[in-house]
Amino acid sequence: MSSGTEATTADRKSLAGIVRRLPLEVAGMVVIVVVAALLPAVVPEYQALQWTQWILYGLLALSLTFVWGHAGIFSFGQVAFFGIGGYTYGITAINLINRTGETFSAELAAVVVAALAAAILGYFMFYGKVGDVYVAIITLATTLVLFTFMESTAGPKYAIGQALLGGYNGMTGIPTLSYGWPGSPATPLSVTQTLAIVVGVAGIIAFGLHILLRRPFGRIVAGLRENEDRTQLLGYDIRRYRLIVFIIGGSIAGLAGAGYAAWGMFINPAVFGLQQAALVVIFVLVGGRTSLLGAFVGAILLQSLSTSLGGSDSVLTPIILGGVLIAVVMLLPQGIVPTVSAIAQRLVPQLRPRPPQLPVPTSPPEQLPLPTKSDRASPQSGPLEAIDLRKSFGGLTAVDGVSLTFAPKGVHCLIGPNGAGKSTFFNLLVGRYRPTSGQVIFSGEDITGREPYQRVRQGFGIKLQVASLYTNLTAFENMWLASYANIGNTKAATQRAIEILSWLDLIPQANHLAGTLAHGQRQWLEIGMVLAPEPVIILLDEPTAGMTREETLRTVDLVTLLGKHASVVVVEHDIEFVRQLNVPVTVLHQGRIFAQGGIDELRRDEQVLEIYLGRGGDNVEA
Amino acid sequence: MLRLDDVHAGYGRITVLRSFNLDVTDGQMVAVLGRNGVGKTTMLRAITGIIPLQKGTITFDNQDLRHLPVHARARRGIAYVPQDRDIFPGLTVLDNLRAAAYGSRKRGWEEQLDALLHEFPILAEKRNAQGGSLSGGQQQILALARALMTSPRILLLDEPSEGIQPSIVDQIVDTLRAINEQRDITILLVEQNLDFVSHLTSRAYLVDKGQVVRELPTDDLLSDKDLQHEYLGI
Repeated sequence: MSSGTEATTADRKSLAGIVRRLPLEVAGMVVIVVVAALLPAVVPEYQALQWTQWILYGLLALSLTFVWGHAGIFSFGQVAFFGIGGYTYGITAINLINRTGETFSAELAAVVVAALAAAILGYFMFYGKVGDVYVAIITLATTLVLFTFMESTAGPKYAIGQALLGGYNGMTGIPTLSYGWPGSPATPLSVTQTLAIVVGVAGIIAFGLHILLRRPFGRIVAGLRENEDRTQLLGYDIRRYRLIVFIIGGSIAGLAGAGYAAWGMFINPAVFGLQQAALVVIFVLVGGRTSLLGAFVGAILLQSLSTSLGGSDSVLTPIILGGVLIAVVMLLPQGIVPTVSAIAQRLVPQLRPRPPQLPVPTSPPEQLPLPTKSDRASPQSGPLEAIDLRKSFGGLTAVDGVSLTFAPKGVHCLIGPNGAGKSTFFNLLVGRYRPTSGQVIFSGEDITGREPYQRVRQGFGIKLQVASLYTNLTAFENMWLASYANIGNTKAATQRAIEILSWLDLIPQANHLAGTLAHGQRQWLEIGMVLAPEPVIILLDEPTAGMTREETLRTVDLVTLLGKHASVVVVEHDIEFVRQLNVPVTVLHQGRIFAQGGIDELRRDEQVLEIYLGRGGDNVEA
Repeated sequence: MLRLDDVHAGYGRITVLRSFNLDVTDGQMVAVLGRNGVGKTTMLRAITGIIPLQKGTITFDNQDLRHLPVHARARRGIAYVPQDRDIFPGLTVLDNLRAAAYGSRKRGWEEQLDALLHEFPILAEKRNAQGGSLSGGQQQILALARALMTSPRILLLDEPSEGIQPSIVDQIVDTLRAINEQRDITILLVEQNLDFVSHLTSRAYLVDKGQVVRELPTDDLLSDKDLQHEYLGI
């Protein structure tokens, strides 16, 4: 939710504007910090101890909110990094406290080790293209492996330096947070001082994430969560973004774990347990998966409830907690904070987020000019060639030796009856399929083995048959993500996004969620996204599917115009559209080129009619 | 018997059928012709209830189907053979047929099964073969037999001739005619193959852009090249 709030010009400067744009999260953050400052004065020590633990759990939940709620990576492994952080802190602090006289270096070590663990695990998962469900399973399995491993480290032989790992009994004698200088004895922080530091750090981290999510990085991560395919086709390396998110999440969990070990002066393998892993997910669900503040609300609420019920040893606790979870999921599927926030916005109009002011050009653009080219060095531009492409699926040969050259400028249509191999051929050009044999050459370079996102970076613009938009982001945000992929500059990307939206006549819809646009508008929006990086090859698979006649006619104009600047390849079976375009046409039939020429010429060709009527002679038979 | 009035239907926010009208009387064999993507399959899916109507009504035996789920429509006698046949590939031929019988809960299905195996010797021969191992033509026969297991009143067929050898296509023509004449089952057929249709039906509907644009005798269509180019070719 917060990642969507866009900061653009206009009322940015006025104080009132800033206040108005501040979302609930920031207000919540401020409250937390103020409470942190006041807590030591008002709460008795035993309560301060409790609050410290709750906030640390909140920090752990925050790491999952970031990884899951914002980037869409469902990880059971946050407790693994929490535990790794805790043990690392214990080992480092026990060994170093007498030498350095403080334990903050141990905190740092915990973060580094947890980040490293997240990097290794994340690398294998994301670069190995593991599916969503398996990410959940792998992270959970890793956690449980750590649990079993640490359980088995009882006995004096399992020691690192002076730190005994302690097996299922856990590691004892961990120093609390202490400060001092090398050589002098360490001074431990008081309980209330610890609380203030923990709350302060948690607040800063949460605020840092909040800022990060409003940066381009946050938008890209939101795009990743919403539509992986589209993000890839815009030229973003999704594996890298996922890994970065995962490492950040792991570091935060590790920090929380270190704080936890220091707080209790003790850590045991139970932190890696199934119950603990599930608890974090529950904190996040209850507080609200998309809300940074929600992580703390969920953790504090459930922990205080659990404490008042007599702690985790009470028989009642799991039942009541389970009941709360079910009630929240059924009644407030968004979680507590987003729900409360929505109610507050309904009651107090001033709290409603205002749609961002977009820097719309004052004079409407002239009729259909192509958005101005930036002076960026134009990417290589040469013919796209398919050389004797073949693709077989099992025994069926879908594309059977097609050689075609597409000139650097102009529109080319591919048509053909059912099963002609149009879509397969298209996917070979795009790079979604590897050909069984043959080559794809672009500007004299063999690109047969390149991934779609690599082709996009080389100047391909790709629109697949199934509409692929970020339906939960606004039209502007969609276009912005497409522009930023190539420009890499926030301001220039905003400007370009506006240019293309106004060119497509979509400015009135700029702040509407893409999912709420009319079908034709969505298709145009997607075509616009394909254009944003100024591609030199534009590949469109059935751009007019589902359009009304008027929408189709407008698309004809649009595609014709694109053909003046780039090489456009259109696969289409709306013959009316092809007639209107009036460009060179290639008819595919049974995976081969059947005929080529102008549409009028082909219309008079009796043989072309024959194949459309299913009289192609040797029809396929499995 | 089956009537579509001002039907609008599609996928999500996309409208494919725009004011589609069709009237099929009892015992008829009706063909709907048109190019790829004009909405033929969408029409069949709307009739079966797989996709909801955006507007309009579909009535079957004067009863509005709107609120009937897919399985209830099937039990009322609407059988659908989709373009890719949807044979259960891991089940044997016999089990494919039995699955249909269990679904429609009709009595006496065992006799019916025997009768069908008698009628389609190829299925009797392959009775223990896995559905997925059959050829395209055999799968089409199995799909037809499976539809007949439910004792339907109307059969909806999506391009039954597609991807099938010409010799087997002739066999399917004979089979369909027999189903229509001997069992008195109405057939609504969607096709692109004009020759196939001309062997079966005397009337055809031409569809373009989600609407019926012509209704005419199949012979007229067969002799009118311009019309063929306009709506079936390019």
